[in-house]
Amino acid sequence: MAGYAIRRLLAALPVAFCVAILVFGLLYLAPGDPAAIMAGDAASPADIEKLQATLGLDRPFVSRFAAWLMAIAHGDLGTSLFTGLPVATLIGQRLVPTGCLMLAAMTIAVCIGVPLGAGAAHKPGATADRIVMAGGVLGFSLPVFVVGYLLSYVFAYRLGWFAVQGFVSPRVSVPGFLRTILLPATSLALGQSALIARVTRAAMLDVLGQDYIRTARAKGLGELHVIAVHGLRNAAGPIVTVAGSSIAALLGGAVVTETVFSLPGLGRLTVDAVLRRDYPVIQGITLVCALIFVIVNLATDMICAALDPRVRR
Amino acid sequence: MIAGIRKPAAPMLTAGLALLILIAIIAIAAPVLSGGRDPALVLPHERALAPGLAHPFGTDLLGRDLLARTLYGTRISLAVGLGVAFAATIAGTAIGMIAGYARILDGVLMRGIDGLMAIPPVLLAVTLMTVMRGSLVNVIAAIALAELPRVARLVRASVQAVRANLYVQAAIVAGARTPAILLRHILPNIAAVIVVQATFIGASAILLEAVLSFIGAGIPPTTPSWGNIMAEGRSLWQVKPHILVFPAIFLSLTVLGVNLVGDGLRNRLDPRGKAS
Repeated sequence: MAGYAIRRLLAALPVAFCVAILVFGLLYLAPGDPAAIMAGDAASPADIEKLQATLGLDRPFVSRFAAWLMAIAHGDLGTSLFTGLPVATLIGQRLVPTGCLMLAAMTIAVCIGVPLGAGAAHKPGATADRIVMAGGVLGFSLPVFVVGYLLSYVFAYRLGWFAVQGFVSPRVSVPGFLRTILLPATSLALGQSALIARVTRAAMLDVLGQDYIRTARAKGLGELHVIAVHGLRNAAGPIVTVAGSSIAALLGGAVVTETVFSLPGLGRLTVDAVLRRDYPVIQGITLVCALIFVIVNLATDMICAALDPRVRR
Repeated sequence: MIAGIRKPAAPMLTAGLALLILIAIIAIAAPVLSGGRDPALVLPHERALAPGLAHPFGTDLLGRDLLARTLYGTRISLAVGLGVAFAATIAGTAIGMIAGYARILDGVLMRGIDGLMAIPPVLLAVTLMTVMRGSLVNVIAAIALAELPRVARLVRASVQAVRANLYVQAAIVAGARTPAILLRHILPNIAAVIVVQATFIGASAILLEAVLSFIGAGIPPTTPSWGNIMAEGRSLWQVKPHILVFPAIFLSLTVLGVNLVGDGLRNRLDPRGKAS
């Protein structure tokens, strides 16, 4: 297991390096001269040139890339052009709401998707299966903001059960947290739950045809026990993998959900940075999200290996 | 094996195709269907009107007719869906085929693809759009780059599965050159999978364009697109929900149509739904 973990970690490093090159390349291509922007309108060309030299902007691509990587290794993601604050600080302030949103959405997506998918696979071709499959297409066709506005209009604005906008940290008040997080998390989770239901169904169809399932039934185990313990346990690999990779869609969807529900998270920060063309902030967020994705994928691989020793090879 | 596997869901495919044909007609006939209303005409004294006789879908905050804007927006969404499906599929297929066939290039190409794939598509497209000017072509290019890794991975895996087949080995032994093997012997055998994937890429691209325009990183507001119409209505959505409702319905139905077609095609190829 330890050997497998080290191999996976080493395999993730070149990916992380490629992400760094891509993100830096985009920063490099960004229009406008950061030195000119930082120096302000009153600066003379000589001042700007001096600032360029101090910032190292006159050096070649490779040397700037190395300096940028070193800075990141020290936790320095650059400075926001708009607020003048360090990007790492700005991102740090927004991690809690987005983290809560991700966790809540993932939980909801798994809790909806896995039972529905397993239920559909139990009797393939039956009415329940058809409804789940058709509902699945609908689920990932509905745009996140459409679901978000719909839920918000009905359950927050009309019925008043939930907060229309804002965020309350779970450390401040748990009921307040649930009132603010449940609607955005549900709207974000819907599309992913459809995907998880599909993968669960496909994986379960494979597993339920196996001999050990017949054995389990033959020795008189209850159907629920067969499905949940013998079935799901063996179908868990693909389900965990799709749940892990859906973190990319969730992080992307957060940009929209946080805008619809005015949640002060990374997504909202992204939108504000886009409107202000605050490149360092956008690059910082992209880099952080990509690293989160790489780490989550690594964790997914570990869970799969723990569940199924054959994966470790 | 399991008995009673679901029959190919042809009604879904038909429904999807019917929806798409309807939407294509709307896109082409937008000037006629909107009754000659100008989507860009600003009527300052008719701002944020609810749907009525003069403006069947109402007007937006600047007093522009929403029927015309929504119908003309169909063109942008279809152009983005088709454009991205073609661009991402062609580029992704080329990369995937080279990586899947030429083992020397596989490592380098796939690490790059993995790197691209690690960045959530929305964020990658947003980042690209802040660097580029907001135009239709740039939006298509940015989304295509974000969608390309999925195609490349799928094609690479399919090529690796097919290249072990005897007929490919036979072609190699017979002295066929690499381009001929790739295009004549491998591509036709993986084309069906690619077409299904292209359909889903199209649906995902239409959604992504709406997201980009919604947050102000996509098509400039002068050109009506469903995303930027909804962005317009964002600030007053509780009191003027009509601004959001119509583009939202059109967007959902279009994406549903494309996904139904993709799903129907996939069921024909793979009735057990394994490749999801």
